[in-house]
Amino acid sequence: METPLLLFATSLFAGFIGAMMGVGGGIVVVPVLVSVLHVPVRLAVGASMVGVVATSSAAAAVYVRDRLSNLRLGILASSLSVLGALTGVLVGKVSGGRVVTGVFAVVLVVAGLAMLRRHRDRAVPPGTGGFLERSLSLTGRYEDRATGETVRYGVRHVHLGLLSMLGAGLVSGLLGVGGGIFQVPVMDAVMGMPIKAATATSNFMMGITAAAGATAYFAMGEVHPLVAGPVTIGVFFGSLLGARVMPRVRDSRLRHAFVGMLFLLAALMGYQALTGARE
Amino acid sequence: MSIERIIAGFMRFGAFAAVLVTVVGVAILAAHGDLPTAGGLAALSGERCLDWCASLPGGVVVLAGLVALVGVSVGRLLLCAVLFLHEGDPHYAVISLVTVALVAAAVVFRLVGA
Repeated sequence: METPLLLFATSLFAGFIGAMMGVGGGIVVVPVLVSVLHVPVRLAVGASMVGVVATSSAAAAVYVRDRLSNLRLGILASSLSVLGALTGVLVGKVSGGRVVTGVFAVVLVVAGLAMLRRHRDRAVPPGTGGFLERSLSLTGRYEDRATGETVRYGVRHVHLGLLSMLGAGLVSGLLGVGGGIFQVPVMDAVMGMPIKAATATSNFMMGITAAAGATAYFAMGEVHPLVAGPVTIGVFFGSLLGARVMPRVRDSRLRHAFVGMLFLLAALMGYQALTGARE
Repeated sequence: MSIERIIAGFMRFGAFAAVLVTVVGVAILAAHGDLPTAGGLAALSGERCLDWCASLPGGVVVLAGLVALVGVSVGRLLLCAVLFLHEGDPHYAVISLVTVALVAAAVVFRLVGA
């Protein structure tokens, strides 16, 4: 396949997955750019960062309009997530990479199992989160296109959830992976949000955190138009497609797909931790 | 109109405009036969990126589109701050601005760290 077409097709798929799952899509784009097209790693990551911004801009615009994204929680959690990522980069310099990777492979498995335990997919009723939920106006409401029902939900364990967002940012800073893979389980398993609201809110958040990374890569001259241009276009249109499909998918299917992705990533991280493949 | 609708409209319009500019840039590159080959991608280097952009009109246009896209992403926070303030919700206006400041700090930190 011609190189530009391969770039575009890979990015289209990454954007689709990113919009559906509330993750950046870097786990798809970077390996293909580096392993198949032999793009230098830093240019691949730079292109991926802009791609995450494109995913968020395309998908979150739809999700915010349809109130699937919880705007207030997204902004609040973004600030903590960016703060955590900043700390994570600092801590990462003094920690053993293989140990950290191994620990978080286990964390991903635990997160996946916790998500599977919410098998009934019922939203937490508004008011469950008490004073913090009310004072921060975190309750949400959206129309579920898969069932035709209006879903009203509350947010429980707000303090623990926000603390976990700080942790999710910390982990993404430590491991250099997008925060979505940790943010969605926190919103789902800890805060009790419906899976669609969790992935949609994560989509809104990741555009903010990735903007910081993308700006730095721009300033370092590591966003190359030949790579980042086709990637961004592909990711953008893939995300638009994903944002149209996600609201129509049943919660249980979305949850199982997300957990499957978590387990796959945990297996990859576990392998890296055991063999030191990344080092 | 609700805050959600205004933010969604801003993101949608801004992102489409930025991606349109990027598409035009890539089309110019394609018209000049400058699109990448597999071997060409492997030879790319960050150090020569700006020189390369300056030498090709398509490269500058692509870069402008990508910068605009990131600008829209940060701009939504500033718009949120204004809208929350307008709606009488100063707490979230402050949180939005603090997030912008943290994003700026993250950029500076990464650059200094690099």
